[in-house]
Amino acid sequence: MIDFLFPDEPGSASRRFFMTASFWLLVGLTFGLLGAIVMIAPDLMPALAPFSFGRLRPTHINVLIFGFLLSAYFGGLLYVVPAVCRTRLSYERLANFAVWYWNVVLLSIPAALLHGWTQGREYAEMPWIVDIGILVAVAVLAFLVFTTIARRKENLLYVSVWYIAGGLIWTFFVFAVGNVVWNPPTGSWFGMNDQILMWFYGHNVVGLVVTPQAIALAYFIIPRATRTPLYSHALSLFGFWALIVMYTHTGTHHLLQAPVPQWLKVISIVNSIALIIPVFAFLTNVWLPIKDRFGRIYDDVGAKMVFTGTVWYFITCLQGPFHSLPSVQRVTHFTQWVVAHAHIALFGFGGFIAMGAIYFLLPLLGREIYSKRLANMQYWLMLVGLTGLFLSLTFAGLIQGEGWLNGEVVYRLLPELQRYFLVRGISGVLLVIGGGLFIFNVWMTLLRKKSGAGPALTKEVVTA
Amino acid sequence: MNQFVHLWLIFLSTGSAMAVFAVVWAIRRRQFDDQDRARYLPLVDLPGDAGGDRPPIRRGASLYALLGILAMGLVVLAVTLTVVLRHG
Repeated sequence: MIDFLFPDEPGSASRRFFMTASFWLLVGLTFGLLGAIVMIAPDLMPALAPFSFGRLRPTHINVLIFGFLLSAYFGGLLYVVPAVCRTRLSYERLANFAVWYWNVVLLSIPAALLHGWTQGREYAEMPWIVDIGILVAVAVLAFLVFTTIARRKENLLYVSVWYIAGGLIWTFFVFAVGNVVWNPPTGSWFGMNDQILMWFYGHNVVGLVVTPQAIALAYFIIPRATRTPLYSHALSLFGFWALIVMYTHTGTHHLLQAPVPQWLKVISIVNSIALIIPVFAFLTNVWLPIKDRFGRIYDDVGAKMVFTGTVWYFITCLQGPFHSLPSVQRVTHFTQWVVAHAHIALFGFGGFIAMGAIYFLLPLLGREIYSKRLANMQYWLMLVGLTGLFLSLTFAGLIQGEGWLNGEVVYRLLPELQRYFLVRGISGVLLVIGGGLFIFNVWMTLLRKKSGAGPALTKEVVTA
Repeated sequence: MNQFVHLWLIFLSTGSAMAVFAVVWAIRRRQFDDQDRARYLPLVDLPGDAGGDRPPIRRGASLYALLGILAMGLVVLAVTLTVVLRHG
C-alpha cells in the first residue's frame, strides 16, 4: 500500500504530477468556457451562484495557474534537476507524498471559490488556509530541489537549475507577500498599499512564478530535441540575473491611473521596458542555434509545443513594454485587450511549454506517448483556438478603448462586442476539446504498461 | 504610504542580500568558470552529433503556422499603436 501511494521508483512523482496537470487543465478550460458562454448568453446558464461570472472566472484562472501550470512545472523540475545534476531525486517518496497533498490543496480551490469563499483580490482570491496549503507545497518542492542539488555529481549548475531554484524561492515569497498571509481574516492590507501589493503579486505570477519554470524547461528541451548546445550559457545566466533585477517591480504598471507615488510608477515602466533584455537573452539562446535544425522540432510534438510557447513569449514580450506606457494604456486599460495579452502570456507561453514538456519528458521517464497523432491534433486545435481567442479579444478591446475615448457609453458598445465574444466562445470550445484529447493521451500513456526505458541520460539518472 | 515604503525597502534589501549570497556562492564554487562545457549539459548522453551534422530544413505546416503567428503578433501590435497614435 505504501509502495503504491508513495513509491520510491525514480520518475514516479514526475509522472503523477503530469497526470495531475492534464486533469486540472481540462477542469480549468471548462470553467473558462462556461465563463465565455455567460458573456455570450447570460440566460443560458442555470440561475445558481456557482455559475455566475464572478465565481467562474477566478475558479478558471486559479485552477489553470496552480492546478495545470504549477503541476506540470513541478513534474518537469523533478525530472530536469536530477537529470542535469547527474543524480537521482533526493526523496522520491516525499515527492509522491507532495503529489497527493498538492491535489488536496487543488481540490480546495474550486470548492472554496465556487461557494463564494473568496478574498476578492485578483489571482489571490483563495482563502488564507488555501494560501498556506500552497506555500507548504512550494516549500516541500524547494526542499526536494535544494537537497537534490546538494547531492549532485555534476559540479556545474545548468541554467535550468538556476531558474528552477530561483523560481521556487520567488514563488514562495511573492505568493506570501502578495497574499498578505500575515493578515488571515482578509488576506489584504489597506487602501492603495494593498493594491500595490496585489499587483506586485499579480504581475509576478507571470514573471517570477510561471516564467522561470517555463524557461527552465525550454532551456532543457529545445537543445535536447535539436541536439544542439545553447548559443551561450553565459548569456543564459545573464538573462537569469537580469530577470531578477528587471521583473520584481513591474506590477505597478497596472496602476498608472491610480494615486500611486510617481517614483513607483516610473520604476515600474522603466523595468517593464527593460524586460526586453532578459527576454531576448533567452530567445537568442534557444532560437539562434536551431535556425537550420527546425526539422527536429517539427518531428517531436513535445518540442514543437515548447517552441510554439517561445513564439507566443516573443509576441507577449513585445506587447508588454508598449502596454506599460501611459499613452498606450489610455486605449487598452480595462478593455479585453489586456485579457488577450494575459491569455497569450499564461496559456500561449506558459501553457504550451507545460504541455510540450509533458509530451517531451514522458518518453524520457520510460513511457512512450500513447498517440502522437492525437497529440498533433491537440496541438492544432489549441493553436487555432488560442489564435482565435487572442485576435477576437484584442480587437474587442480596441473597439472598447476607441469607443470610450470617443465618449461612447458602455451599453452602446456592448452589442458591438457580441460577435467577438462569440468567436472567443468558439475558440474556447476548440481549447476544451484539445484539453480532452490531452488528458486522454496522457492518462492512456501512463496507465499502460511501461514501454521503453528511455535514452541513456534517463537510465543513468534512474539507476544512479 | 510610509508603511509601503518600509515594506518595499525591506523587500529590496532582503532580495538583494539573497542575490548577493547566491552570486558569492556561485563564484566560490566556480559556477562561472567553464561556460562552454555548461552549454552541453543536457546533451552529454546523446550520440555525438551536437554541432556536427546539419539536417536540411523541412518546411512543414508547423513552420508556416508559427511564422504566421509571429506576423500576426506584429500586425496586431502595429494596429494597437496606430489606434493609440490616432488619439495623440
